[in-house]
Amino acid sequence: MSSSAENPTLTAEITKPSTEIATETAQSAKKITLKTSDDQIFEVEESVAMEFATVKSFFEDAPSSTDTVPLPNVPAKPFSQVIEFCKEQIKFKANPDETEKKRSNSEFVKEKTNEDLVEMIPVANYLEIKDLLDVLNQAVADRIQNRSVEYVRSFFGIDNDFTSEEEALLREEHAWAFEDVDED
Amino acid sequence: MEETASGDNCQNLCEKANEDVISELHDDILCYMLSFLPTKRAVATSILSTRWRNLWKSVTILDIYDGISGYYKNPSTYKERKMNFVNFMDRLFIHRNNPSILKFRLSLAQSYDFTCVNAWMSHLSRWISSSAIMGNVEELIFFINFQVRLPENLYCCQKLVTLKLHGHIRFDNLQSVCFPSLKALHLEHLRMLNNIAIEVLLSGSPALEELELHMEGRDSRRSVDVCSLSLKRLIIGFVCIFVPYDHSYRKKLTIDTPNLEFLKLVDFASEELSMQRADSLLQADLCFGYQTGVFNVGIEEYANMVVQFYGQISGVKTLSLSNCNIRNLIGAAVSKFPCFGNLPTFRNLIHLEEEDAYDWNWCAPHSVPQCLSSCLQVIEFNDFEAVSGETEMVAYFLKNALVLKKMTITYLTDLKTSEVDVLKRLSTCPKGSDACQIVIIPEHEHSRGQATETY
Repeated sequence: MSSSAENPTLTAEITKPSTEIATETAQSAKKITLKTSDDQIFEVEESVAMEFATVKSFFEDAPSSTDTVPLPNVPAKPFSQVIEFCKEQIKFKANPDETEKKRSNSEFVKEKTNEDLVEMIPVANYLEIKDLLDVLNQAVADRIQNRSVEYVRSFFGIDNDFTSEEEALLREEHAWAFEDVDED
Repeated sequence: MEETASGDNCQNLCEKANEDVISELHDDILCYMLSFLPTKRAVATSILSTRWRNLWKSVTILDIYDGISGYYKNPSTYKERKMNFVNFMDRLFIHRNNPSILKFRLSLAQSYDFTCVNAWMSHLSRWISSSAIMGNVEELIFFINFQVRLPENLYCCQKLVTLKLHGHIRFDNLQSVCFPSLKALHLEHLRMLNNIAIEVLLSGSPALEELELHMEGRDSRRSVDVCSLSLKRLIIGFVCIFVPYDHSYRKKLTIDTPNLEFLKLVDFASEELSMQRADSLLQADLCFGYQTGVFNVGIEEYANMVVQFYGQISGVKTLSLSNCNIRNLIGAAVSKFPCFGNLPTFRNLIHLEEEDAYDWNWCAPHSVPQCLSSCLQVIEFNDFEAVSGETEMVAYFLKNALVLKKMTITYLTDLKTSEVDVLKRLSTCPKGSDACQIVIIPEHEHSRGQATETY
């Protein structure tokens, strides 16, 4: 990631609002400025930012605030992917189509690496984006469910702090749970 | 497991040793994450690290399946695996430290010792009581392959939204049911289900919107009354083939559902049909089957009864017909059997779908049905076989459907090129509606298309 000095503003909204959208409501063009834990500045359309329950309640508490909203628990990399998800989601708010939404969600996770998914979970949780959290949890479950313990540890980046005796005991205790695991 | 783009990345991840951002999350979030896994795999996370050791004990969504097979391949491994599963269940019931459950799915394909099963059921009963206090059991799903009575308190869950039962569950103790929030009830291949149990279940579920009822073999011979004021979707499948019939009575299906909007009925067993109060019905998907020499009702009488049934649902906007059994209907009955000849009945029809469009002796109706000139917009013919009659029928619809927007024809993939050409020439037929788009596709592409749609 380039330093914030070189690249001070990452504009999340790359596509300029088309004339039709712009005429819809004056509000749709309004941008919210958000600052991530690694000091990246994001300018996000209000409608997208309101998908983040945490940000939404910030503005409910201070409706006229024009300040930059700090997101101390949110690093820029997963955040930009979260924004990508929410931009897709708001399309379905105006035009609900469950089949298309599912397809879009599965497309979203399919392109993501394991690392991407794992990093987005705390962000989705902090920003309280329930739909995204569900999509991520399901994707993670699909990727780890028939995998070995070693695989799952490395998937999440978990350090094993069990002694080998403790581990053997747990394996024996829950023998059934460790059956039918795919080869890594 | 779904093939994902993750393959290459795992390799990187394994080498890179990702920073552990997950273990820092609160217990509740991790438990929620574990609830997306089958319980077997959630328990397996106990070994990841000490942080994870006891998390599974608080997960409130349980999904248990005893996937053990291969007894004939290796009886001793089978026995050991079964033993492991029994231990797993025992420990699960004893060690969970959160007695309340939100969703519980139990699929038992093998049979187990009675004392074992009784113990599990009494643990389950305890969970349900503690959950009932919290009032939060939302979903219960049971697939059980041996005779079992579910705990009595299960039939009284305030917040239960979905209940699916499948297999050999016994209902002989079912006295009363109290499901004030139940929206979806699925009763599938339940060997012990009778009409009394169905009535008790329906009358105890005043908010029920969806009922799925499947009966097969000898069980499908029982008469059924579906009577509900709240029901919006009804899916019935009675499959009864090669079962000797008791000639002392006729199987009867009665549907009385004034708010029903969607009906799917695949019925090869009912000898009497009655549909009452179908004023709200918008969509019907129907497949009737008459079994010659088996039914205790003559073919003429049966055909008349089905015609009457069509009269009762004549307000539907979308109709899907599957006449897979039409070949069994002979002589006069064919013209009476509800098919395209009966379209005048359907005054509001917008969308018509026909599976196996084969129509033995297609002859155009005396006058053009009103729905063709005023409202029918979409026609789908599936399994086109290019036999005589079918082509004429399609041509008739193209000519007379004046507001038709789209006609889709799927043909069987074993059709000869010349037969496909016949079909393709149809697009040059005179069209009653200029706006009509004709789509002709081989069957496999159609089903693939549907598969992507449903996902």
